[in-house]
Amino acid sequence: MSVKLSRRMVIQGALLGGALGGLGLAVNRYPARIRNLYDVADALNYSVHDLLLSGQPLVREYSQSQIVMDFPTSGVTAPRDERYQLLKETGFEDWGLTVDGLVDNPQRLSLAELRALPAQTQVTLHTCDEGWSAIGAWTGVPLTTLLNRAGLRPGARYVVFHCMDTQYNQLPYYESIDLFAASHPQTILAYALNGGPLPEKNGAPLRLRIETQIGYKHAKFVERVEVVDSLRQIGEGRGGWWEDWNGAVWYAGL
Amino acid sequence: MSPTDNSTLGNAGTNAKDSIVYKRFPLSTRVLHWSSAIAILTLLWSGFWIFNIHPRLYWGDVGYFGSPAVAEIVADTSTDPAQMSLKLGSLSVNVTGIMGRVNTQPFVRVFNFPGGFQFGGTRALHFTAAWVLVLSWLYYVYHLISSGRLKNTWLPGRGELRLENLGRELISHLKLRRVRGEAATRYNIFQKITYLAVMFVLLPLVFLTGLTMANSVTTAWPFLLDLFGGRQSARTLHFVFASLTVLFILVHVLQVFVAGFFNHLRAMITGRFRVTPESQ
Repeated sequence: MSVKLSRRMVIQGALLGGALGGLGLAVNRYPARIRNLYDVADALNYSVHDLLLSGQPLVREYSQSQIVMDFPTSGVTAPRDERYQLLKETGFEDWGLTVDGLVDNPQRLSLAELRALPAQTQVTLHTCDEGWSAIGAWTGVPLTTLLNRAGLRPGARYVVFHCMDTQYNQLPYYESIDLFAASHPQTILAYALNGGPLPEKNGAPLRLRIETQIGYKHAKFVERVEVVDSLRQIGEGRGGWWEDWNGAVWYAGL
Repeated sequence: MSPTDNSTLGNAGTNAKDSIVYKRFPLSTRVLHWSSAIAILTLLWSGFWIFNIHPRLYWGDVGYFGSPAVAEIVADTSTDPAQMSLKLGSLSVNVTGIMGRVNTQPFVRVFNFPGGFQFGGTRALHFTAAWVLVLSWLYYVYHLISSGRLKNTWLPGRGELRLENLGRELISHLKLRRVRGEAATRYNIFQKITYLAVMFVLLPLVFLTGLTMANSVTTAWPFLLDLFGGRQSARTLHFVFASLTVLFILVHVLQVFVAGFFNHLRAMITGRFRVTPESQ
């Protein structure tokens, strides 16, 4: 039996094959556990957006005059945890940021030590997944500075942020990004907003700014940065509190 | 047989009793029509939920509770249940039970997600359906062009855009008159203009305004922010274009009823379409 292939069939076959192959690659490199069709679509977003961002372009910066001084917020705005309250009372003097996991030299830095590191300020648009957005001036330490100080070990692939605010299901907040997003020049751990110390509702004493992604990735009240090779062992295996407990997708570029 | 094969239809028209059935829509058209329909309904549903989380629309880059809104749903929580008013300029409409900030709305309860409402899940659903729609749209465009359907059945023919033809078609439309005979096998000029506008203007605008809300996309393509006047403007326009899509669907379904519901529904499922002769 011979099948005569028309040019159109060849083109359609190539398109279909390419699409399925691309989808397979995207699913294969997706770090979180795939539960359903949503995660397949998310894997596609993750890979397509990584291609878009492959040159690590900078996000747009805005002018000082556009800054919103009383910066809006979502999620936990006042952690009720006793430990957090005690740390807050002393101006976070006893607080320290831990950098550990797959690193050569685990770190513990006080707020003063963080402030003494080379800082950068960026005036950017914060967009919440709920729909609102506001412009703020964030000051902090590039995440790469901290990761370089600690020294990444072979196999390091993701960065997990552990936070001090307990959510309604009695678990503290946690989020994660890959090393590519972590190494974006505007990914910083911020301790100041609009020229003053980071307000409590916005995540005092330290929060993540990951400008290429949306609100819930910007973990507030961060106290530990853990470098890992896989997200499967974090929480329920989907890489973050919203992902594990509220059906959110892991990749938050959109 | 092609829909423009007039000779056979002409013969059918000479015999008043006979109607003929022919294959009108190829498989690609039918599959893509329904995958798009399911995707659009899913997008509208999940989009409605996402909107209700923050039921305010703004213009420019910035917008939050406390900044001025173009349109908003204001909750009056002094009564139980809370009263929801849609405010647009000086207009105020009571939308209690239909829209407003989640979660107590009866309408919202009826259309809830299996297993309960999860905001993260509504966004995940929205993005999944968006991929289905975008891929369907891309393949539809490829199919329209490569099969010749765009040229043969969508693009206006010579003389169709003449004023007298437009006037005649408009009157026929306003009378909701059912088209019979050979004319029923072709799209009329308003159909052609509408399909072209939805396919090549409205849907791309929906896609682009949606993409303008994605941080990673505007990082790579910051010109999108300028094109739509800022992140919040893009969100507002996304809502406007989605509403125009709803308008298109309503008119489209109404026209299917006018033109013969079962015949057209069958044509879009099996491909087979019945043409009845012109009335004598």
